[in-house]
Amino acid sequence: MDNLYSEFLLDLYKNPLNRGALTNAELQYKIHNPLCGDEIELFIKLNNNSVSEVGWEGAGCVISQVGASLLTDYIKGKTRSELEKLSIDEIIKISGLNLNPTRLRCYLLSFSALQKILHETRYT
Amino acid sequence: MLKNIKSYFPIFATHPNLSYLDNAATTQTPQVVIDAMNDYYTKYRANTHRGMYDIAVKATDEYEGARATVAKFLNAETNEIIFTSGTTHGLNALAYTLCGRLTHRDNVVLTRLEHHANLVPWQQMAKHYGFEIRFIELQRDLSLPSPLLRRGGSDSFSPLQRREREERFDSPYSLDIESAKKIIDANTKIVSFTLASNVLGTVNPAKEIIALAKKFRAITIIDAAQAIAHFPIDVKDIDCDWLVFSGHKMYGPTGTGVLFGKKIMLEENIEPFMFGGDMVLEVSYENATWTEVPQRFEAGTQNIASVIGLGAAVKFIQKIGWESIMKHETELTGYLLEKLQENDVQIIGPSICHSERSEESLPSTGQPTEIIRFTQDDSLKPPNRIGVVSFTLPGIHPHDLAEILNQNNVAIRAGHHCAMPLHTHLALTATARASLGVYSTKEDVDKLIEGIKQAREIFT
Repeated sequence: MDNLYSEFLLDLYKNPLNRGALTNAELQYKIHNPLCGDEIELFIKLNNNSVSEVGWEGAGCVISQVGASLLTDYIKGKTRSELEKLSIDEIIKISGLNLNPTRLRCYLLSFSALQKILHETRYT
Repeated sequence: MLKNIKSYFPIFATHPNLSYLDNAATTQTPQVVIDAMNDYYTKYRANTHRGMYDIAVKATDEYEGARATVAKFLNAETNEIIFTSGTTHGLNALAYTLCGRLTHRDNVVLTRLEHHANLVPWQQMAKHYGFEIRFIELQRDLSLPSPLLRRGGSDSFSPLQRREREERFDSPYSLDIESAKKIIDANTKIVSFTLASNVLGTVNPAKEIIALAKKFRAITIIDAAQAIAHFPIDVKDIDCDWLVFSGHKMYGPTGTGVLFGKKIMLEENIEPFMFGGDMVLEVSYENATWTEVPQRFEAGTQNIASVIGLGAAVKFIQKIGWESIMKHETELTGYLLEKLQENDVQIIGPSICHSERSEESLPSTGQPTEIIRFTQDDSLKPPNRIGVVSFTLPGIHPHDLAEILNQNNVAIRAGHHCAMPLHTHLALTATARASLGVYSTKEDVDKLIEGIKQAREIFT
């Protein structure tokens, strides 16, 4: 807990990965955390049913923004069925962070957006 | 007693370095309250109003004694006090029972700064019964640039000048009585408002609003959840029909609350809202009649231990005394506001704290010393604001600030504090909130300021 805001984390916050909206993204979803008003919009382009390009836009706390950077980097190149199999534990693991339940909600905001996208497009 | 007040609260023995600044969410519990509850469990546990044996009589006496204590605390009659599980319970009970007679022609008046507990129940009832909900506006007009909006420490006003400016032409964040005059009309059946805002800290002009409501015979309800631990409330003086609050925001146990209703309201204006044991006079397979007020509104076995604890909490407040509590909290709120402004923090709410009884002796700079001069009489007037201070730091999310503060053993709240519409109304996504209690100290405030400085270094 003491070193939550490590240099790595703050660097990722100030220099986010994959930040920016994508036009003509096949998959797109905007989510917000009612607890704090944080917003994240996720954009995914598919090629041969796997993620070819990914982007995100949003505003919020360090943890939610870093979560979006890490998630978007992690899902590049993954197929739809691989995305569907992603578990919360796996997403938490890539951060190496030990977060309390409240902050976990911040961190998983982008992952919730991804799950919403997959759920809403499950029959397409 | 205030000097070593932290020693009365066991939480500070467990966490000696804890600076607890989230008292608007819930307050800590003094040992006397815990002891009162333990005594019930260990010495005389029995159900109330039923048993013929000694400990049952004792349990009933203690439970009813708590009712008498609370009644005296509010200057109410003993049979005007109903115990609930909290403010939310009280407001829902009122919404469910009072709205049944409303139609599409009627309206219910609230304010822009209500907690969800005094908004959502009315919204739901409005969907059912078709009445209109109207809102008393805030004075701050977002369409006009205000000279006081950027009230960092950099402005050149002395506290006295700032206060004069706020009072004369801006008073941002307080209720606009003119708008209340416009919206309260002959079709207004209920006016329900908070006495002190859980976000802005402002204390609302209850008597003025109630006078307006009374002109049209509207029922008046006060949400005193935030106010109850900070200044005395006299229900006869305010002349409200109903008043609700929670025990856990006034050093009492969680899961307790009070619904005060004027006797005439309880007897003739509402029907019981929970049915079952202990609230009936005579029951047949077809019908039932109700017992006396207030028993008929307390169906089933009550939260006996906690109600007794609530009574002990009231006595704890009375033992410290309102004069000491208000003097301490007004001074400390002033100190908190000054320190925040010195550090260029944007305060969302009145930037100064004063009592109506203040003398013209505001300090020109530095420490806010004796802003208030309380006299020995018991007609203590509420201050302009309580020690609930919301603020924002440019470029730093409230969650991140709260996290850094947590690492420094400072507990604050971050988010929208159960007042999402107000945040949207003020064009804010989230704020940080520090709120004071009777045990808060200058050291707690200093630690908060240290944490804010640290957060600035880390995030900007």
